Amino acid sequence: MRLLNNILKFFEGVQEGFKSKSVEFIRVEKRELENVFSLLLFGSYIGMPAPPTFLSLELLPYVARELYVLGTTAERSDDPLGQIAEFFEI
Amino acid sequence: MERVYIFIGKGGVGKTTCSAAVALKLAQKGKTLIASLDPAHNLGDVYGVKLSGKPKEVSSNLHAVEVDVDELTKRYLTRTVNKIKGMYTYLKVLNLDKYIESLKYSPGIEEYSILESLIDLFSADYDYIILDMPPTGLTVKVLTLPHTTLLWIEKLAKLRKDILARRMTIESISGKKCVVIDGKKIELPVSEEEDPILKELNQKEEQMDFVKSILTGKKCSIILVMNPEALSLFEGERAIKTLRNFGMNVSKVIINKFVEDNEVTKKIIQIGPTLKIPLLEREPRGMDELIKVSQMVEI
Repeated sequence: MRLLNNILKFFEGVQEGFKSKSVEFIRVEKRELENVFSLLLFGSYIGMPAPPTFLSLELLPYVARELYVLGTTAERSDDPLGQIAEFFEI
Repeated sequence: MERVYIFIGKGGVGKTTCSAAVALKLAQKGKTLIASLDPAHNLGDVYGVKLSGKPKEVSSNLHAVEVDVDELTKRYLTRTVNKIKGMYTYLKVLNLDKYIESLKYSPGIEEYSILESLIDLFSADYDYIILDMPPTGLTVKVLTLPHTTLLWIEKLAKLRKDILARRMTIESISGKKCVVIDGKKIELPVSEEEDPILKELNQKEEQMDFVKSILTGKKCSIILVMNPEALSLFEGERAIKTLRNFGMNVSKVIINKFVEDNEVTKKIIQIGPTLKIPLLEREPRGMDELIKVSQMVEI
């Protein structure tokens, strides 16, 4: 009985592993898109053409997550090869 | 609203006087409102009546208003900043008045404030609406703002929908995810209906579509006021070209302070339907003199 339970748990674990591997690529893609979105909205801070000020201003209350992504991407930006290596598990 | 007349032109050519005279003429046909959107208002001086931000009856069937753009900008920014304070709680302790003051001068905020006033005025209950606009530079920026904004909204909305689609895929595979920012747990919006950013973008798109359809539509007459001088002509031609690129056409040109035909006026006449208003002995001020000017106007 205990053996059966253990085998079931093993297969569940494998399934979780497959799930997280499959979404990993989409997660990375999503993060990139969120980063681009934030850059478009706040690009004026780094000299990029920006949308009319009032648009960025009125979206400001809702972009807490996007600002967070912008910040962390900037933090990690000094090692882009390291990020790719992490993704491909080199 | 049956028709809106938008008076544009260089500073000092006589936009206010011309638009005030045309307003008197139109008031004979229907309920008319004339609004001055030039931060340096002259409308009250021209009619000899003290005007304010609320429409006031200056003659039979004619209401006049001097829109206080500065005050509207401040109110708009305060509203928006309060929304921001609501979301980022640690901002509540800060006094953001200085922030609002400096935002007032941010590129594009003054233009947007005037645009917001246009939206209100276009929905007002009058047969004819006449707008006395600021000098050409600012006016062209205001009139082209809906078009540029719509371009940006299209791109941002598409990007946002892509992000939401991916969030939905991830959620359907590995379940709902919470994100911790600043010690607060936030559930990220996943569907298009519940995303406040997409809602805001769609709202703005409707607003801008509304203004753009009126400005490029049949109910709008853009009237360019010029003086019989070369500089006035050059600036006018540039304004016409820019507006035409955005689908807006100048329907009439008024040569104000006209003395006699010269090479400048000959070139102006080639632009389109022209109306000449002669240089008067002294500048018309007060209702009686303005009525005389309105009798010279064909609209």
